[in-house]
Amino acid sequence: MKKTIKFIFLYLPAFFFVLYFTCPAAAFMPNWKPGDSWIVEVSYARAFGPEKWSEPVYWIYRISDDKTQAQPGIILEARHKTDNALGLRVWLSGDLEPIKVQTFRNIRGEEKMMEIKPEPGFPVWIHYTRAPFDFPVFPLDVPATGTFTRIRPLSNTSELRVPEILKQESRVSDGIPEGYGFELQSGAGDIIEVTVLSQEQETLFSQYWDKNLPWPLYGENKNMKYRWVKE
Amino acid sequence: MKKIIVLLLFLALIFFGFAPVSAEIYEARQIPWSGHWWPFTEGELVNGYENDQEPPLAKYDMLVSGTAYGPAMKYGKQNFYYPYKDSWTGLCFYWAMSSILEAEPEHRSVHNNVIFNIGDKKGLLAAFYYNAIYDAHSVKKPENFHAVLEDNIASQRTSIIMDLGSSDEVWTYPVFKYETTFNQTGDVRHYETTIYYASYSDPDQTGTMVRNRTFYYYFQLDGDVVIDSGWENGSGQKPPKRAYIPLGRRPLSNAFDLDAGLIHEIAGSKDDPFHGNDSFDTASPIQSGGYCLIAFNSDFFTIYLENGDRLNIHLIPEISGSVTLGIYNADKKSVLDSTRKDYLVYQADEAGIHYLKIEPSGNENNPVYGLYILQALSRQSLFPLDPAGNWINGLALLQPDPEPGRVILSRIDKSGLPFKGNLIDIFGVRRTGICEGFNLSSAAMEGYIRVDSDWPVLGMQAVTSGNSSLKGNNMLSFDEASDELFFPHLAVSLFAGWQTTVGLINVSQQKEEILLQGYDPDGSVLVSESISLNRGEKKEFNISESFLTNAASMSATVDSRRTCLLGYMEYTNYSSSVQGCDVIPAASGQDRGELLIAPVGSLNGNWHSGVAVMNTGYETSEVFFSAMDSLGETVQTVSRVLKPNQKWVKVLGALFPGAVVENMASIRIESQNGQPLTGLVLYISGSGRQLAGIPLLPSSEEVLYVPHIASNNGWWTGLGLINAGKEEEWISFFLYDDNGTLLDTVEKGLFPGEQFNSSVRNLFNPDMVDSPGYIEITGSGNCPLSGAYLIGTQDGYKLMGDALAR
Repeated sequence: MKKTIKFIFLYLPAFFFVLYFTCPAAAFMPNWKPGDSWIVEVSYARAFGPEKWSEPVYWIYRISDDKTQAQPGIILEARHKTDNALGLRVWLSGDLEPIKVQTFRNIRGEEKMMEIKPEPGFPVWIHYTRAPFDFPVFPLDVPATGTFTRIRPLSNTSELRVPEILKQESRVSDGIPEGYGFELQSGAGDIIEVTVLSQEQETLFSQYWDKNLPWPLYGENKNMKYRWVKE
Repeated sequence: MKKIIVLLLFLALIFFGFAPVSAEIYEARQIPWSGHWWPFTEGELVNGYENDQEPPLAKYDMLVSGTAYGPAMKYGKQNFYYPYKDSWTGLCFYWAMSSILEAEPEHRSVHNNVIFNIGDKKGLLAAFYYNAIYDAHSVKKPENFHAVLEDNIASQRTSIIMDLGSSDEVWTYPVFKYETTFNQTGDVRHYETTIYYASYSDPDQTGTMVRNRTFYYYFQLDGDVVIDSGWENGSGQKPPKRAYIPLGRRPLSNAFDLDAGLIHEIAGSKDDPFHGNDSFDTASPIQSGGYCLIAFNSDFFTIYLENGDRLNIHLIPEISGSVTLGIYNADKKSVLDSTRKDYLVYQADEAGIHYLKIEPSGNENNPVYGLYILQALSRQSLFPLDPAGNWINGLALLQPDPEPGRVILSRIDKSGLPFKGNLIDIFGVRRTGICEGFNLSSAAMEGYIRVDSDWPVLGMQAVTSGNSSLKGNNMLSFDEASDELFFPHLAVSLFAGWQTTVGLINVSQQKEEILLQGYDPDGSVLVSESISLNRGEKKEFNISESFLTNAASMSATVDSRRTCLLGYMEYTNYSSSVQGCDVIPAASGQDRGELLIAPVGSLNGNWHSGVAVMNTGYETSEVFFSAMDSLGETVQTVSRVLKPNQKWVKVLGALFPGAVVENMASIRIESQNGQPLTGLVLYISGSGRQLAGIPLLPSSEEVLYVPHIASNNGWWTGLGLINAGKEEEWISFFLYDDNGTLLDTVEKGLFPGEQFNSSVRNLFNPDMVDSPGYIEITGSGNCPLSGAYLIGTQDGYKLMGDALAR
């Protein structure tokens, strides 16, 4: 066991290794450009009480140019539709690689910001955020299955590390499953279903992308479910 | 030697091998506070957590919607009260959320006369976070438990919530600190981590009651990589289950939400709306009204008093003796020593600012007290109705001889305490408006509206609801208060739909004992009962639900014989034949007489009138009832012997069986032997949809008034006047607008007994009557007059009336 772990996590030449079995179909990547904006409807999981999900709230997602990077990049911001509170800010490279994520919340009247530096080439699943940002590794080929391994810090402050293996599966969806609570708005193009699972086969998030839309038609993680809605 | 080396090696192993190599303590910047977990089975947010206390959500509703059962209570009943749920279920999670995200409410405070205790505030915060947003993490694995502590408490310096319950039960607490140490043996680190969290407390308690729990676990390491982990030393039997990172909240529902600004204002405030009035220099102006206050330190108020003004002050501390009151003049010299009396009267002997100083006394911290102030001027009157529900309370105030005097309106609750007072400006001679327009708040207190003035004021009250209900009467002057009131007709009929409510108001400065006596149709005492009326108190009796249900008439007598009682009768009928209501003042001593005259309406066949008369004297009397035509000629006379306290009630057609009703213009009722009579006339339109009543009063030589005219597309006003004298009299009718500008004058000669009946529109220039105003009616001053007015809607649904005001 110990040797296996050492082999996987220490002796492999790359820090992480991706096994990605793809088909030759055209890969999908959202087409985000400065000036784009869209609305995301979010319902939050309720651990207690009779209702499983909260009634929806709305976040406005907006793309702007990032002139701070040496390479061309963009910034994605999510603001609460009602009070304009900033919930999320993501710096991405030109090829939509998340570089830095900031999440915001308010504690006793003070804004509290948390910064996360995602692992390049690794699915991103952000905690501590009211505005969703589940981000698979793009481009999405269909069908495809990828395994992503890394050794990451146990926490932001820990000197210890833990191994992590994620699996990303993408395929052309037969249709959007019913019973998700949202009345889904279908797009014109093919729908791609992408799911990211933990080592224990627990679904971390799943999404249904319409190739013509900037945001999943529907997505869900343990804390929330969300969908793109027409403005 | 070998043994010594082995021993040293063993000790070295103990000290360097098993000894902790690290001991770290981390704590959040802001410490969560202890709070109640609001069990669902108790539903304390909607049922209250202390005896005799409104529940927190009812208090919120009182503040927002003026009712103790509003949207918040409705939401709370649906979400926070489950009598049959598991006993461990409640709002612990939402308390924990609020204790992390919000500063602790540390003080009681008063908002718009609603006291919010600390528990109320914490309860509201728990409800506020009922739709909290959070990030949930399983911490069943030791490395996840360890990581969530490090990521939040150590790295972010923020608290988290942990579920420390066992089996299926959820017991969540805000964790704000942890202390961790480890021993490393070879590749295995054994951790001992103690978390510190705020525990549950009583609702009103403040501060953080800290508890802790220690968990033991190990990490199997490969270098710095955790490759295995597990709980140890018993921690695996009851490991932490989940951690929740508070992110915020969302509205409770799309239909209802607690107002975030108001919740934060309530939670964060201490003291009352007069915060800062803790010295003579920072004293807050105050006027008649009721105030719920907190004495964080001494409270100072100012009020301007003219010489002779009286201050009636009720000081009602939550805990007896916890505050004292002193009064000071403009020079800040004491004019009334500090007292703990709950009621006192202070009469100013000089004009100027006066100071009230309320000081905490005794051991009570921040005592809550009620301060009820009534500034009494030389003249006092009242509007007797202030019904709760969907009633609109319209008032007309008339100062026929304008002087630069003050008028204070005070809304008095039914217990006699002033709720809201306001010094108003009449602007001209007359001012009309609804209670809210006079800044008397929108909450009816089911009491009455008191009017204090420097000069005589007349008035009329019109209370209306929906499309068909109107009731009202003239303002009642304290000068009319009596030691004995008579109610000549109690109409209670299940089949005919009649209901009678009797109202009594004690206007004295003392508590009074009142003897109520109900009489049978022969005038014998049927029932009697003594009641108490505190100073200023009003009591209403629905006759059909009271001990008086079988009585035909009644009286109320003040035991002390002080002339302090005002009252009224309210008749209601919403049957298929009659639909309407109206109020008639009860008869005081001066309202009775041996001769009563009243118009009986526009008797053209479209109206029915009924008359009730009571002999209030001590002797049996033959009473003559004469129907008169409009010229004062007798149409028919009948007589009836009435014993003391006996009444007689008839509709006109039955009272005068031989006469043509249409020929009757007025009715004249006279006691053959000078016994004091009292009575009333009820008017019912032919359709039965309009009902009004007027008292039968002795005639008067005084100037008479119609205090309010409504004459336009929607309303009409009519008046009837009878010359009760023995000579011809020239009557002047003056039409004024609200500024006292004379708009039109009409003169009319009336022979003895002649009755004049007219609508205001027909009496005056029709172009002049569209605007609101009033009518003054004068004769020579030598000839007694009787009269009444009616106000109704053109659609034939609403009607009210009273005798002409004097």
